Amino acid sequence: MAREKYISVIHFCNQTHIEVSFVENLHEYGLVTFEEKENDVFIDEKDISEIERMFRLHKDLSINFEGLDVINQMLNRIQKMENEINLFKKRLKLYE
Amino acid sequence: MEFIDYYKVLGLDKSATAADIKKAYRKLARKLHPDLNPNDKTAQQKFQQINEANEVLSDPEKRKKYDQYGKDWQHADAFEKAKQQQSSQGFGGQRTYSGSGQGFDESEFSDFFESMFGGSGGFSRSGGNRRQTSQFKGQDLAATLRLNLTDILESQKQTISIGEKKIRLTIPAGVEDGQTIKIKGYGGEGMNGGPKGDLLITFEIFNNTRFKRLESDIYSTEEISLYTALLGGEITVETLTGKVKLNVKPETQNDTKVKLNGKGLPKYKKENQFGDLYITYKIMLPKNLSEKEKELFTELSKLR
Repeated sequence: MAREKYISVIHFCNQTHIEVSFVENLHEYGLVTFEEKENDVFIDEKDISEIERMFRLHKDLSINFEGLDVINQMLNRIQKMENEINLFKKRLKLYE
Repeated sequence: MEFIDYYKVLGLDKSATAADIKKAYRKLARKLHPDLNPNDKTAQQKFQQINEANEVLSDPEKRKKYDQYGKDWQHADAFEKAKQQQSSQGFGGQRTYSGSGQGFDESEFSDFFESMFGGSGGFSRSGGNRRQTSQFKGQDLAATLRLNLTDILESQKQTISIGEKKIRLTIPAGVEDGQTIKIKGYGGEGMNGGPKGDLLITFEIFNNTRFKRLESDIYSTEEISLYTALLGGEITVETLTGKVKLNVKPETQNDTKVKLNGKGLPKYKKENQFGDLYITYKIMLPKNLSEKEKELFTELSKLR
């Protein structure tokens, strides 16, 4: 495990003031993956912004964990579609 | 500083009940939450406005003050102080006062809010019905950097100025038109103690070549003569890095595509990997045929 790629859940929660129980719930619902090593639990750095986003949505809009899962999937689909639209626009330029 | 109609912000009228306010706020918050509207600055501003409206209207004390003074909010504290003076000391001389007092250093509220509620001491920021708002990182700043297509054949270093700050930037070879790179922490200040925003640099790649581009591949059209197409031959074509010789096969058909491996643009962040150049042949038929040519073509046509 590359040291710089993972951050311990405890350290992350201390830094962001997000409750550890929230991150554990995300893990239970399959919304975040844990890496376990030497009796400590880590999260991937690339998941951090998504965890922070889910925490804000949970707190600000009272979205439950099932709802967070649905929102994540929808946002990812939107992102994927936006990328595809951009690619199609570029392909169309070949025929202009 | 302008008066803000908090009822209008939430789409309510003055007779709205606490339940109406809660319902309207929740509905709008779900619609305008910044995490559900990434890259939409209007939604982010509106979200800030509804938070502020909810902050005032969901707190009975603040709502009372807001309702009582409305557009005369600038004089609210003066009236309150004058009232207190009258009840405790009888009529005295006119007092001066400082309207805004010690405002809170929280940038998520408008100047109007800060002025009306910020220094009045009428409520506790941490207690009562105050709704804890999330930490949001500061606004992302956007900048555009224009480059020619021929500038991105190799990675290059540039220094850009953002306000007083100078940032040294390495522009990777093969960067896409419209691609945005993020430089963390060079944006606006965060809200509620959130981290600084980022600087987003979008590249505008001006195509100063005759090639069309799709990601790292490039495309061009080459005209070849009828005789080269029929009999084959050698032609010279342009690439991004100079001219190359190509063998055209005999009996090449119109619109035939050939691929020149590795003659495209460098692949973004993939060292020593390049896209391809696709060439489409356009066969040019001869014009203004001489009598002799006509005669020979007629003869040829009879052979088929």
